[in-house]
Amino acid sequence: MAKIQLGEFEEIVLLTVAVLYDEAYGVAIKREIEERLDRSVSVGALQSALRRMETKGFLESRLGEATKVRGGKRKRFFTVTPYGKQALTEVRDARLQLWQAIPRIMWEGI
Amino acid sequence: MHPDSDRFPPPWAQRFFRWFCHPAYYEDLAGDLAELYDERVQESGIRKAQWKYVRDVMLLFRPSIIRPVDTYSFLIHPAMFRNYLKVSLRNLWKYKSYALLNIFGLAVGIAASIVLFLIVRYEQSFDTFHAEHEQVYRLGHQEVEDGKLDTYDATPVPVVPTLLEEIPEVESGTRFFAPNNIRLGYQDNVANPLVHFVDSGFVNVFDFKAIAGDLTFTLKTENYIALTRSLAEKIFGNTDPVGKTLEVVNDEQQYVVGAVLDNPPVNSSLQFEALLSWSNAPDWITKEATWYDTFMTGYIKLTDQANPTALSQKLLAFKERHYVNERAANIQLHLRPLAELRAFDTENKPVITLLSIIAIITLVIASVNFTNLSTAQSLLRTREIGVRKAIGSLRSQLAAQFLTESIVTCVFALLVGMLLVHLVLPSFNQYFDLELTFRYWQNLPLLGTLLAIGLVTGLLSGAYPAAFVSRLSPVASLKGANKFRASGRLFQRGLIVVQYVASILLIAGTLIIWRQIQYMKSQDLRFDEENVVAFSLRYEHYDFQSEEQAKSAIKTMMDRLRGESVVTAITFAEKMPGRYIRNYNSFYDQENRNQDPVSLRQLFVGNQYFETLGMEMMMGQLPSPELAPDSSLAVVINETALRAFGWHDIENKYLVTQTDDFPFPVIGVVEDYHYQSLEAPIQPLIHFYYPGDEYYYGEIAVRLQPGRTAEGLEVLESAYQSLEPFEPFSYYFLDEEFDQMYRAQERLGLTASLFAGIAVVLASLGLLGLAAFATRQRKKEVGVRKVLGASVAQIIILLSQSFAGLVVIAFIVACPLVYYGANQFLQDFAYRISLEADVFLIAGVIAFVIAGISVSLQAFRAASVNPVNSLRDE
Repeated sequence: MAKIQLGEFEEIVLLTVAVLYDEAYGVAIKREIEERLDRSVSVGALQSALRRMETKGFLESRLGEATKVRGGKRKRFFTVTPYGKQALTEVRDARLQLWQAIPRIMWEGI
Repeated sequence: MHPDSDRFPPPWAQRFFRWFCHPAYYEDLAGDLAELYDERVQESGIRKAQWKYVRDVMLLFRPSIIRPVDTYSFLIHPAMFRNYLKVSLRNLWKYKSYALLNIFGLAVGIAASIVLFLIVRYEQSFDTFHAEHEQVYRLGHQEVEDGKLDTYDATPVPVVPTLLEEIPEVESGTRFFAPNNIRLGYQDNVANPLVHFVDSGFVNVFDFKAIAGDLTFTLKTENYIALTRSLAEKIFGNTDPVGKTLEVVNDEQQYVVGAVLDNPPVNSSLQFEALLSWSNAPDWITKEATWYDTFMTGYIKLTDQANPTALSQKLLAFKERHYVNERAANIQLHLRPLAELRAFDTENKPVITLLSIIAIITLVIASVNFTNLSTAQSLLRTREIGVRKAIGSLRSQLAAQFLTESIVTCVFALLVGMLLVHLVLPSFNQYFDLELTFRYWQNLPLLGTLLAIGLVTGLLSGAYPAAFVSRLSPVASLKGANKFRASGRLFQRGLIVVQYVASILLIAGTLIIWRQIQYMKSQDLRFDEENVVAFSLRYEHYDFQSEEQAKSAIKTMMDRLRGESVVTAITFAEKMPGRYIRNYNSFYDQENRNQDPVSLRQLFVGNQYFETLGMEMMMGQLPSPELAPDSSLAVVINETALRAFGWHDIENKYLVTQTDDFPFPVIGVVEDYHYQSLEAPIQPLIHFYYPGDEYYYGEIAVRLQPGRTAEGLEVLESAYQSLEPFEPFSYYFLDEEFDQMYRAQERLGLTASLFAGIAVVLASLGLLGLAAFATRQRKKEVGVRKVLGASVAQIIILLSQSFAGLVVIAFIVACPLVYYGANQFLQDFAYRISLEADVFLIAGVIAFVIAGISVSLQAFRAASVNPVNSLRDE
């Protein structure tokens, strides 16, 4: 199986979509990342990451109901696909494996 | 939602977003942006919210969000593009001669601008590789002589060290002087480099870095020498030279190699092969030199805080303190920035400026001409356009086709232009004394500029047909009616006039420059310069063991030459006429010491100098060994010097200099003869007579029997070889030497002729385009006239008339300019031609004939068309 490619920013976005569960649309994701991680996120970067991961199959999306706010425009809600979950797990496992491989003596004196 | 429009995001940003956004994403993204906007309005106000909205829109402008390119977009569609390209090439091929002219014209313009770019970059690169070159200056003197401000970059020997001691702004400094070549040997390898003596400050002033050894130490230490890489390789091959000992040939002296430097780059004004510390310099430079001896160059580096006004005050005081009274009054110390050395030394500046101006004009004119010609050409194709439109071409597609065509043509022109540069660069370098290189990988900015020029010209020249011709209604264009407004015709005509003014100016300029050069070459030099061969004699060129041996060897050689039948006379002098190097001093009449001194050029001459060169004495006697008084040097002055002193005879006249009281008896006056370029009038000259044959540092001149030159040269060479010289025999003829003095003028003349040629070509091309345009407009008229019985000649005259008017206007405008320019140029010459009317006439006639040819070719073509063809459409 080909190695799954997941960038750092993509990973954060993917995780945040998972955190938000049913309420993951553009503005909410942006707000969540900004609050939790204390970093500013541009709409452009976020949206391009979302579309990219949708094309890769990590995410899927559906349009919500039209409301009076937002100029009557519908929201697009994202959810993590099983493939997306696999990607996240792989990345986490790879990290864990590395952490565990560090000899204890390494941490002494740091 | 609020009704207040201020509360909405900027509408243009919304429109822009809608335009580029992928349709599938538009709704939810626009919703997100609106939500964020409202939130931000609450949080931080409208202004910030609007600004952030714009920023977000801009940041969304990225490939993953932008809508995919529409498949009907004509410019990108490969099949259509291939078709445009194909049609472009077919069109070029179909109108071969026209395409050739058009491409060539633009190529010349492009080539000129490339060469300009290379020249400017090369000239500006000189001496700027030293990191702190802005603080470095070359010392010199400014002096008013004969009413002219004269600057020369030489400095008395003690100036640099004294400046360092007395003026705190002078951070470091070095003298840089090479009296002569020194023969250096190591084992069997011998070299004869020019060795410069420098101060230890050399290391601080300049950035010449050592690649081996320690330069600072070497330049501080006696008997240590620094070599350049090429010299080191010549003497030592591949072995490491540092620490090895070099012997000076025929001398006890030895030098240890202390450092090896990289060769000075081509764009360095300072060129050297070896450096020695000043402490190694001979006594006549170091101990015996005074504030009067001005023959070497010095460089100083100022501190970065140096204040120019304060410094010039200090330099003034410095001069007053140290310089000899009489000199101090006239002389100013002058600091020349390092970056300006090149322009000053080569005197290239006027030529370079001229080239720059002309090259820019050339490029502009070439581009505009190209546009004119392309426009005219596009009018030939109204029918093609009609057909395309009838089939269903959009206007935008036609525009795209025209733009493609003109860009293709421009690309060809660009390539031809670059080829031209490669062709002319070598001879250009040779004539203008440059070392330009044209390498693409080093010239990214140049390549960028070229592409930009090609694209912009292509777009501009395609713009007119793209905008106007594509607008024609298919019915009108298929009918063959091509009525265009005469807009821009005045501009086109004005351009033609300007081009012909430039052509006439350059043709006349070329004529005047060459005539002036010819005039100077043909002047009587007032001595017999024919059949005289000279060669120089320099002590270090021979394997002399001692001064005594040198003198006796030279005497033997002179005697041997005197005995040859082919030699009619022989003499020696410091420098022969034509090679005179300026060297002068102020002299007083001994009886009239209160009078102002006269500045006399000085020359040491040997026995038989005047006789050998055929100069006539005006009064007094020819100097000879019998006449020369024991204790003093006899002198001969020229006629101008006699007048300068206001003398009528030379009875008991003695000359003295400011610095010592040694009186020189004036024994003769020689009629004025030319010893310098004829740019300047003959200046007062004093000849110091040197009776012996043992003068071993100067030039020997031999008058040969007329018609026996080859034999004479053989005799000379064998005599020369008997001295066992290190250098090959090199001689020159006195008359040829005078002819070669006018290189600067010849360069200017060559520049003028070169650009006269280019200007004429471009002007004819411009006229050709305009004429083609005009004759096409009058196709029907010509047809009708022919039917009614007009002859071909009459029609040609009719069509050419208005263009002849343009050339006449150009001639009228050019005449005063030529007159003014020519006088400016000629006033620098003491011996000058007068400005004759025929210069104007010849230039005018050449311009007129060339214009006539290019117009009447078009007119003839139009006139010889069968009227049946041109009238058929009606």
